[in-house]
Amino acid sequence: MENLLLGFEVALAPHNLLFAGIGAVLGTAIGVLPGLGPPATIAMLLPLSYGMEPVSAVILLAGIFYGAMYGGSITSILLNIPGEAGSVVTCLDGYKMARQGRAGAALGMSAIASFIAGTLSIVGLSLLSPLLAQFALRFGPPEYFALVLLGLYMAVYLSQGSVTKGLMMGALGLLIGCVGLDPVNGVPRYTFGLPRLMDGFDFVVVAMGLFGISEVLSNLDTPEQRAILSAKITGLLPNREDWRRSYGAMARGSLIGFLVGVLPGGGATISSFVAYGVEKRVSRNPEKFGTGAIEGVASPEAANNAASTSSFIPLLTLGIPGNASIAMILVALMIHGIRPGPQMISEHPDIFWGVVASMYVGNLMLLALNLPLVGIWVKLLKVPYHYLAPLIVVICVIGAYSVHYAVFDVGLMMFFGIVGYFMRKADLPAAPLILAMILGPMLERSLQQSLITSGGDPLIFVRHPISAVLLAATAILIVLPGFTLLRRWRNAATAPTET
Amino acid sequence: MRLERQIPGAIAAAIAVTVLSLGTASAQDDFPTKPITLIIPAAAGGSHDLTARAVTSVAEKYLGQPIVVELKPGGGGAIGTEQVFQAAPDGYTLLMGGPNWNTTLPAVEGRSHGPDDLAAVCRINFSPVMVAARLDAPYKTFKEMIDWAKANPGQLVFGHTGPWSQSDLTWKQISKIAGLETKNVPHEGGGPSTTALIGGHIDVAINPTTTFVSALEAKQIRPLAVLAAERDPHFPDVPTAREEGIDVTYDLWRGIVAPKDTPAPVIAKLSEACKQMVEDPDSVAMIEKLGDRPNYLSAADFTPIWQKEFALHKELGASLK
Repeated sequence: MENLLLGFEVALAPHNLLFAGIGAVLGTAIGVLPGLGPPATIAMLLPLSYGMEPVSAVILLAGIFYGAMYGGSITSILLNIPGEAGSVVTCLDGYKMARQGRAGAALGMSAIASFIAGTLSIVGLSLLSPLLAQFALRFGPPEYFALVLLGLYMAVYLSQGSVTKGLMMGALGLLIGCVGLDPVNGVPRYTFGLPRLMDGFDFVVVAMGLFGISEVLSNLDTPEQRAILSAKITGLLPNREDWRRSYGAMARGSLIGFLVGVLPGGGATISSFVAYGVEKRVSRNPEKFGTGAIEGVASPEAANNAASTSSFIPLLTLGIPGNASIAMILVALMIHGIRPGPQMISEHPDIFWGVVASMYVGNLMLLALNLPLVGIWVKLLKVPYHYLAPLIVVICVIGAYSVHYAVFDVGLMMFFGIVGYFMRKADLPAAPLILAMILGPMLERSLQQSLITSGGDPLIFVRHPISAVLLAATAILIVLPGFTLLRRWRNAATAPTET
Repeated sequence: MRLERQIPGAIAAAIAVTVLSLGTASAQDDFPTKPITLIIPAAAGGSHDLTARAVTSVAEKYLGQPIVVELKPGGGGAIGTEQVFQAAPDGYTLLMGGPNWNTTLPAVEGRSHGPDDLAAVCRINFSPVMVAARLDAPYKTFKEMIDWAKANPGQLVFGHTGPWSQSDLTWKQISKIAGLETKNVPHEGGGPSTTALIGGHIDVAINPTTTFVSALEAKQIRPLAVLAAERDPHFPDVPTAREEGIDVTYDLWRGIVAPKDTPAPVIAKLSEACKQMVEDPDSVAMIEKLGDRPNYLSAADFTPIWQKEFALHKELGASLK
């Protein structure tokens, strides 16, 4: 506890407060402009941090990282453009809420859920760091495989409407995820000899096409209703009913995000839709999900923020960067002669606890920054659609271009925009496709790694306790809907007045 | 629509560049007269990117013109390399070279471009590559590891960082020389393979020492050997593989290369300026903080090393596939 106080002493120093603020603002800005993700931004700002104290440098760069997480949800909710993999799920209900005139509630809840999750996660981080780091190390290929499989199930499950269509899109997503060099032998798959396709499709390019561009295209279909906002704006902040429905979602989302986020490599992404899937599962009216349910915003937003906090644990306690942004923060520390590792807490307590406390301060700043901005963001939706549509396209084009600085990616995004347009016509959900595309390579890699290690013996998945439990959970989840349907049908028969 | 509008512009620019370069043959003497672009074919924040930024930050002091860093990642480095390969050979478009995309890829798979298609300007530095084992492995030295792997064929789990990466290539070499049969598990990069080694999911891994260093300092993994001609001064107790009887070396170098037909005086001027840039105290300090050392070689000294490496990888590619 006194350590945390030391941390706050560091984080609340005026210049560190300033850096946390700058980081949060910058992060929000790059989150709003998708494409140029946090790793690239941090890389660009790295030289600036050479002259700063190490703790200030990390505070600034970490601020960019979680600011971007929040910024990504702003475009998801307002314009249906997911800027980060973690905010794909936020589009599902957030954008629907915006169309119903409830963008303010969605944005507000997203900020509040992020803040609450961040707070809980920081408490967890200060109490459990070393323990969780050991847990993360226990996760080998079979464990990852089982987790990704569970995630994949959630990806299909979270789609609204027909399960068959969800499965179809999931399968297509897995195929799209296969494009590129295979991970074991480096054989090009579906590349048609194009060097650009050797790395596979980038998530940002596909997501902005399928979500952002296709949305614009299908809005042009209906000339009389060219506004995102068809309903009157009702309230700028979540109302009491929203709160009531979101408490549980935030708590569960925070817990899932915190635990899954500790795992290096993809933990944060998986956590957001595992949280969404769980929420839909425990909800009394799962059919509301995907139509503008506030829980559908609160839980993934809580999860991705909790995960971005807990993803610092492997770095700070083991020196292992869990994702590209954290790897850049590791570089920033190294440039100042600090190597994070097991000795970090004892050797550099001021940095460890300073960074932890600054996350808290940064979260508070994001809340303070974003709640007043909600009003301005919502007004953006009042802009006539013939001005807004080109703006959306421009954001998407810049975003796609800045992934690899290649015009090819812009063309690719337009292609996926057209694909997405026809998918909408056929009522095929885009979210399972995107998520399967992100998870496919992780699934393949962990499967290959497991089977190479075991010499081809599939029992490795059962012999490892964590993976056995996760696989059992997935199996139960697959079987369970039958029972739930049965029970619901019976309940409906006995209590027909309940809606 | 966007593209169509760009094409005439691009043609005009190309003509302008050609006319300018024809009209000012003597301009080689006062090269450079405008900023130089250095293409980095790798991701932002990687060691090539960071080293390039460290060295180019002092370019203006020695060249009179700044060097602008431009990222063109993709295709394992092939995309940025292709762009420089096709650029006007006037010294204003350069490539941050590395062994993955300028030696192994062209030598083994015929993609990207190597020393036959590009001209060396200089080598900035290199990172030595190290073999390390998980802490509770039954072997404590490189020799013991080789003996154990021979006695237990198909048992040792080796973690590499993708097909034909430095770890894959060098392990295949070691296996061939020592006659080893192992399980080779691919990882997404050096970070994940180090994590797997700490967690005990793999037995042995190969990475640049800079990737291993914090795990080494925390005594979470055991160093076995360095794959370099000499011991790494940061780890004087770790022998080279050559000392242990397996002659495999690999330098993860970083350097600057130019289009093939860049005039010799321009290369010479750049090569000389690079020496000053690499040895500038500011860039030395930054390179050292990244865990590396500056290790400059001029175009004349580096070209034969690069060609030799290319020939070796070509031979390895044919015999190890």
